[in-house]
Parts: sequence; structure tokens; C-alpha cells
Amino acid sequence: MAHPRERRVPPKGLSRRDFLRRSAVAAAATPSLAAILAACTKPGTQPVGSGPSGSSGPGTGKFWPAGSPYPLARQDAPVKWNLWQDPIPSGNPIEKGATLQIYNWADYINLAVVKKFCQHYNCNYQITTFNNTDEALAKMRTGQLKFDVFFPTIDILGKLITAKLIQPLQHSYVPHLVSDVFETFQNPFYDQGWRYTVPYTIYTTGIAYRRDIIPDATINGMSNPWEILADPAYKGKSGIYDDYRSSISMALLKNGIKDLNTTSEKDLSAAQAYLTDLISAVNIRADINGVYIGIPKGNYDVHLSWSGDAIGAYNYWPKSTYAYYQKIGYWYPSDRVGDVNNDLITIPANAPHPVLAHAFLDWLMTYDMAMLNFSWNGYQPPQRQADVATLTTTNNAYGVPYIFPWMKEAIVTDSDFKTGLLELELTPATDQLWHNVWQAFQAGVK
Amino acid sequence: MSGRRFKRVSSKTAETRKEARARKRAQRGGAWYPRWYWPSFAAPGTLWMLVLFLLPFYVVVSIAFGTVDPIFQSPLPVYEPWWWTSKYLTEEWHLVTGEFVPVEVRTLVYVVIASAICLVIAYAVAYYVARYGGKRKGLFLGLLVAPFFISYLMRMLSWVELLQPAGYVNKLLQFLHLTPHPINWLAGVPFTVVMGLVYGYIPYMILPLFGFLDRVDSSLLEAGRDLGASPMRTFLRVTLPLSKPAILASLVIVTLPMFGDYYTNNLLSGSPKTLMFGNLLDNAMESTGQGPQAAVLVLFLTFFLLIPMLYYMRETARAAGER
Amino acid sequence: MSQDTATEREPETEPSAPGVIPSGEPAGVRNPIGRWFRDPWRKPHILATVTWVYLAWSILPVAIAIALSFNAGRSNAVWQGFSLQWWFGHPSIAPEGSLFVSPELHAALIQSLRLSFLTMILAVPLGVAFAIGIDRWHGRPPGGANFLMLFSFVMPEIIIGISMFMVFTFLLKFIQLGTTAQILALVTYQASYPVIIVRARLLSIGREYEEAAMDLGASPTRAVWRVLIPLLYPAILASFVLVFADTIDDFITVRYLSGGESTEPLSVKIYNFTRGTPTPAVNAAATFMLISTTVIALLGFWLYRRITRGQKVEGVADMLG
Repeated sequence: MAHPRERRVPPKGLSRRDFLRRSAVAAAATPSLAAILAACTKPGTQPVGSGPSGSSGPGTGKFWPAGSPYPLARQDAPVKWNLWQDPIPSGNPIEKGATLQIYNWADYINLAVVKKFCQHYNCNYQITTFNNTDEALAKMRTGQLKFDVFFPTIDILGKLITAKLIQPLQHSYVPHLVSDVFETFQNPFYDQGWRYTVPYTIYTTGIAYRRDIIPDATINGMSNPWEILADPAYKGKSGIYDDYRSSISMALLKNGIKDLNTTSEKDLSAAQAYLTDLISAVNIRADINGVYIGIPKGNYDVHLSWSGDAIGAYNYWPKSTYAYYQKIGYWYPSDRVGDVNNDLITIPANAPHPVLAHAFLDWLMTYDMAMLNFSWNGYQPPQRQADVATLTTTNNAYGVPYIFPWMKEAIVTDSDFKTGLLELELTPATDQLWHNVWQAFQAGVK
Repeated sequence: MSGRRFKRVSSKTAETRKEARARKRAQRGGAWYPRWYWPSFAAPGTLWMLVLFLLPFYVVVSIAFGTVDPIFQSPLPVYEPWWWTSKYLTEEWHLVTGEFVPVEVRTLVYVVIASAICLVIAYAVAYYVARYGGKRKGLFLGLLVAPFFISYLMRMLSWVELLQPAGYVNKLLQFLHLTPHPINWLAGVPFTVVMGLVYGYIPYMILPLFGFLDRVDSSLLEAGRDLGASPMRTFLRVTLPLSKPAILASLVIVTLPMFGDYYTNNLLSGSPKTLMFGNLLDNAMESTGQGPQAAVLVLFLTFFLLIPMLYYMRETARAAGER
Repeated sequence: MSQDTATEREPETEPSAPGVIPSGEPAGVRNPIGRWFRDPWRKPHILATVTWVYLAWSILPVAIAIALSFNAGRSNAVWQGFSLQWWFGHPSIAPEGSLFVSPELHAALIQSLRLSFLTMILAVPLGVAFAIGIDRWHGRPPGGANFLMLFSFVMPEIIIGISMFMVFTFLLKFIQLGTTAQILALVTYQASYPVIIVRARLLSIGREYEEAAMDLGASPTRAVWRVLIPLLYPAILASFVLVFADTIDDFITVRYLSGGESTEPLSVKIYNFTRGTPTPAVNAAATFMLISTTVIALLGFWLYRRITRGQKVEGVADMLG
């Protein structure tokens, strides 16, 4: 039970035919559908937040497609979310004897960090995990579960704020974000003025490979290294993630599409065709632990990989020796134009201990704690002090460099967020289109 | 016809309530219970089943005929039949009868093969233990029951580990020089999935078969042997025909859950090449906007399995009634 | 239960038996293999082999999994030496890594036992009462109720799991996902076991005993409690053991209805670990579960033997349903 997020289990979608009808429904009926439904469903069964809340909507941004209940954040179209309530006042004392309720991906936070926090603030903790954000959203919407901190991805932020599931942050409790964290996150485009979120980890999506089987030069010498996943030489030993956004994004990038939030049916069809081809070409499998468990175990030679998984994999070799550590490598486009992302930390609207929650956010922004967490889960924190030289030469809490010299490609820098491509929020309708592609792949449909 | 009905009605009206009670009491051999007495025993169970078995099914139907939330894409069930919309239902039905057909066929093939293998092995083992177990019957029975005591998931996990490229199965095969390179058993191999299903479900088949064969009147079989019939012949002419109902019942017991199984396949393969119907269901459950789809798949599976389910229920009821 | 059909068909197979005899001799004389094959008194070597191979195949992987819970390394595929670290913890692994130290595994074990225990004490009385009521009360309504009960028995679990999830998330929203929802669903799924077992027993008991008691002046309630229920003890006990053993291994329903980390029982944990990071601690947890189920079953069996002393024991048959 050591390790990275046992991430996002498979989501699924509708057929493509379905998409047009549904997007039409969504576009035409966003405000009115809820009203109609209210008339025909029992009172009390109405979902939270079906429809833009308030007269002005949840926020302001340049990119607000028709039919979307919220503006979509893009690198060139930042979004400023409205404060649906005021942040908690500053200067409040921390709740005493509280149990900090954490809602997170499985195996995504180092318990040592949490324990130290609780020793420091004299509290207890309970960690509840979710397998994917769908599950997390569904459970949070019931309102029955009360958490203090929640770890979402950027691509559900609009929904969270529109449905008033998370609360605005009081900056005065989180000084370390300003002092320690990357410039990018001082005013992120997806949440201008970081009104609701602080960044948790940063990672790229590339390819992890067995260096003893595929020399670095081979993969770096390829004209389109993404194609290595389709190389029949690794038939049965090639894998992608059981995550629709990352895996479809890989197919888009392989096809030369740089918009990882595309609404183009043509691009998505081509991506689907490629994914389905991978089934017949190399018998590709989709899973969550293929990189950090599967590669050390010999189940895979190549695998689509989040940088954090590739970094953390050293922990899972049969023996803790450099002979083994050296067997895994990570490739990411050398022009740094690739899939890069960051995960978030937020405070749910019904958090029982909001002040303690803010303190915890700040705790994770400090260099020592962020790096202790990194040592364990392999996911890099956006810490200014953690530059390339530091990361490759300093030992982590377990006595090996944070990042092995041969894995430099896995390091994420502040500038990567300027050149890189992010997986961002889609309109509900487009999201269904993406799900369709993934469902078709899973069912092996051409 | 009408005359008889009239007669019955008139006789009933003529009979006083007291007389009727006395008659009923006589039928019961003298004991008397208040009329509400036995129903009150059955009431909690009946109520429970209505609220927690029938009602949930109605919610599934309401979701299949319902719509979805525009933001979260979560299902919005419609409970009033007059508000039902069949739009989502027909769309999903198109998938079930279109894109998903290969998956359905594959599921059917896997389940049929796995149940057939289960049957052959289970029958042989149950037959041997029942007929020839002798003094060791207790030991055998213990070993046959043992798999029930360890978690199904754990039994699958143990295979996942055995079948690793560096696991013991490959080590053994390489030691015996049966294969030069380790075989990647877990890379979407149909054989592995079917083997996993057999391994997982066979205990559920052996025990009922044993329970039956153990009770077959052995004098019948002795007679066959005394008359010089070969064991095979005695088996084919006597035992097998006798055990037909038990075979069918035990087949139903293992087949029904196999149709909904997703975890065996997920753990042992995870490849789209071996995707089964249960995976469609589970995937629909785990993703946004697929509420109606999950509901439709549930309804589809229920209707598909209705015949074997009703058969099993009839057999159970008949066996109970005939005793 | 199905043996009745056997006795029923007994007569019709008999006439065919004489037809079998004459073919005994000829082919066998010349061919030793044929003769061996046709010898009615030969030892069933093939069957014996199949049985032993099956038993090895069924037990060995589990035995290896149990052995690997004592592994010194973090692999649960390959033996790396003996250690108790995955059971009791060791400085070399994170303290969360071992069965009796990890709060997570601890909670999962407790949740498994809690679910099984609560389901058992709810489902068995419910089912037993239902079986008695249905059996003694004749008419149309019990037919329908019985149909419903049997239907829940044959329904694939995934259907029950999904419909339960849907009813608790959309209609009966006051019931939170978590232990309550899990128990309600499990009881629904398990109540049919005692019904089937107890009804089978009721049919063989008949009504004579309670009626005799009532003729001697007992009230209906007394007749049920003092006469009928004691006669049903073996069936009730068998139901307890069966429901417990089946619930502790339940996966599909409890997974959909779990409300968070603390309500995930061991089966769900094993699934998550297998898809995430399996370590020998999982093997240790499953082994511990094996031990506790075995203890419960042996206890049940012992009680069963005590209760049925002097009665004609249909033991195994009753237990198997």
C-alpha cells in the first residue's frame, strides 16, 4: 500500500449518434430542463446545482461555449470564479481536538506528512479515498459526507464551483503558497487569484520504458516516439492508462493534434481508430498500475506514463539496487510540447474544520513537507527551490536522489506550463463525446 | 358451469361463519390459529422484499426511462410512468443490439465453455468422492469446501501472482523446458480468463452435485454392476439420467453469476479483447453520464437470464412441493 | 432437495437395466484394455486422478498465497525468505504496510466481520419467520411473496448491487451509502438462504408436533417457540453459518454500496490492492479471514452436532442447501 494514486478507473461514454442529440438537449435546455424535471420528479430528489447558480453565473471567462453551465478555463482564456460566499474570516483559532477528514485518491499522499501535521496541530486524521472524480463528485453531491480537504483535478473545477461544493479560500492562512510555489500558480489561468484552489502535484504524461530492452537512443531517435506503443516488437507488453483523458490525449498527440480539449469529432474518431488499432496490433491493455507495478514485474516493456509513476516505480523492483533502478526510463517530447497537468487541493463547502483545513493546505505548500510527500508518491510538488540540479543531486527521505539522472525528462519546470498542453474542463456534452471514444475502445469497437 | 358456481356461492352464504371456522379447524386436525397468525410471520420478509427488492428494480426502470442532469450527467430517474421518456432507452438499446453484440457473444462463449469445463470436472470429482470416497469422504469434503473459506478475490489474486512473467507457473514451464520464454498469461489471453472463471466457480458446482450423487441409491448401481454392466455403461444408463435435474440446477448456479462477473476478467486480463458483459455493466456504473446505460444493461441482463432463472425457481419449488 | 426426483424416476430406469447385461463378454476377451475398461469391479483410476489433480489445482494456489504472507520481500509472487513483517510490522516497511498495524487493513477486517455478523443476525430471523409463515399459511399471497424471495436468490448479484446502489442514491436518499446500505442490501440478498433451508426442513417435519402441543393446551405462540423452533435448530444453525460464510466473501454489492474508506471490507480492499499495489499484507489479511471463517464454521458444526445428537442427521445435505 505504498504508492501513487490508483487513479481514475475507467469511465465510459455514449455512442457518437447519441452525442448530437444530447448536446442539443443540453444546449437548448440547460436552464429550462431543470425546471421541467423539477415538475416531474418527486420533491427532494432534485440534484444539487442543476443549472447556473445566481444571476451572474459561477464566474467570468472569455471562453464560454453555448450550452455550458460554466465558463471553460484555457491557457489563453483565464477564468475568474465568483465568490459564492465569503472566505472564512482570517485570524480564527484552529479547531481543537478535531479529526481532519481527507478525501483523496488512493495512495496519493504520504501518511508521514499527515501524521506530522497532526502531531503539530494536535489533531486526528481520517483519509477516505475515491477511485475517480466521478465517484468523488457523486458522493460529495449527496452532502452526506463531510470532508475538510478534497483533491480534485482541474477538469472538474467548474462543476465543483457551479454546484457550490467547494468554498473560497482565505489566503492569510496559506502564506507558503506565495513564498514557495511556482510563479504559474500565483495566478493560475484556471482559477485567477487562486480563489478556490491551491496546486498539489505537477506531472507530465509521456512514455515509460524498459531501458534494458529499449535503449534511450532508440526511443529518442524515433521520428514519432508515441508510435513505440504500437510497435509489434512489444506485443502484449504495451500498455496505456485506464483513464480516458490521458489515453485519448496520447492518441491525439500521436496524430499530431495539439488540442487536448478538442471538440472535433473528426480528431476524436481518428484517435479512437488508433486506440482500437492498438488492440489488434499489440494487444494493448489499459490499467492504472501498469507503470509502477507492471514494469518492475515484467508485465510491460512500454507504457503510457504519468511522470510521477515513472519516478516512483523504483520502489517496486524485486531488489533495491541501482542495477534495477536503471532499468526504467521516461520519455517526454524534447520540445516540451506535451501533456502536462497539475492536481489541486480544495476545501469542500461543508468542511467541518475549515481553519484546520487551511492549515493543512499551507502545510503541503512548505518545502519540507512537499518534498517528504514527493519522496513517497513520486509526484513532484511545484516548489520553487526544487530545481533540476536539486532534484537530481539531493537524496530523498529514502536515500536515493529525488529523480535519477537518467530520468531528467520526468522533471516538471515552471516553464512547462507555458509550453505544455493541459487536459482541461470540457462542456458536459463534449465530455460525453470523449467518453464515447473511450467506451468504444474498451468494447473493442472499430 | 354457471350452475356449479351458483351452488358454491350459495353454499358459502348458507354456511355461518362459526361453521366455517369449525370446518377449517377440523381440516387442521383440531388446532386453531387466528387468521392473522401465519401471515404475520411472513409479513416482515414480504415487506422487506417489496421495499428492498422490488422497489430498487423500479428505480432501475425509472432511470432507464428517465433522463440525465445537464451538468453532472448523473441520472435523473422519472418515477411516474406517464412522464417516462424512451429516448435514452432506445439509444442505449441500439448499443446493446449494435456495438455491444461482439461483447455479448464473447460473454456467451466464455460462459458456455467455462460452465462445460466446470461440469465435466465437477461431475467427475463429485462422482468419485460420492461413490468411492469411502472412509476418506470427510477429508475430501473438507478439501472441497475449503475454497469457500477463502475470499474469491484472494483466490484470483493468487493466480494473478502465479501467472506473472516471473511467477511460479512460468518458472515451472521453463524448468520443464516447455517454453523458452515466459508466457505473458495476463496480457488478454482468453484461456486465462476462462480458466479463471472455472477456478472461481467450480466449487459452487461440485457441492450440489456431490449432495445429489451422495444420495443416489447405491443399490441401483450395485445392481447394474452385479449384472455385469461396465462402469461406463452403468453410468451412462443409470446415473447420468438420474442426475439430469441436479446437473441443470448446478449449471444454473454457476452460469448466472458468470454473466455478471467483471472482476475475474479485470484482474486476469484487463484487455478489450476479453471484455465481458459484466465489464460493460461495471464500466457504466463507474462513469459519468452512464446511469441510463447501466440501467438498460441491467434490464437486458435480467430479461436474458429470465428463462434459466425461472427454470431454477420452478425446479426448486417442485422439489419442495413433491417431498 | 433434488434427490426426490431421483426416487421418483427409479422405476423407469429399472426396465432398461436387464438390457445392459448381455453385452458383457465378447469384445473384452480378446482385448485386455477393453476387458479392463468393461470390468465392473475395476478401480476408478481415471476418476481418482482427476479428483486429486483437481484438489491440487484448487488448493495449491491458495496455499502458496498463504505462504507468501510470510514473505521477507515485498513481492507476493516470489518467495524471498521468511518473515512476519507483513503480519506484525517491521521497521523496514512502512508501518501502514502490515496487517495488524495498518489502520486501513484493520478497519477492513473489522468491517468484513461487522457486515457478516449484522447480516447474519438480521437475515436469519427474517428468513426463518418468512419460511414458517409461508409454509403454514396457504393461499395466493404467499405464493407471490415466495416467488419474490426465490427470485432474489437466483438473481445475479451484480443486478442486485446496481439496483440497490440506484435506490439508495436516487430514491431512499436518507439511507447513506456505507454500512447501513450495505447491510440492507446484504440482508435482501441473503434472506433467501434461511428461507430455502428452513422450508426444506419444515416439509420434513410436518405439522403434527405443534398440533399435538396445541391439543395439549399450548397457545399457538408457545407451540411455535417451544416445539417448532427447537425442531428447526439444525436448519437455523446451518443458515447462520452459510449466511456468515457467504457474506464475509461478498464483493459486488458491498463495493457499490461502500461509503468510503472505512466501510470497505477486505474483499474490496483486495480488489483495490490488486489493481494498485498488492503486497503480502493482503495475503496476510486473507489468511486471517480464512482462519476466522474456519473457526466460525467449526463452531457451527460443533453446535450442530450437539443439537442434532439423537436425531437423524442429514447434516451435509442440509448445510449445502
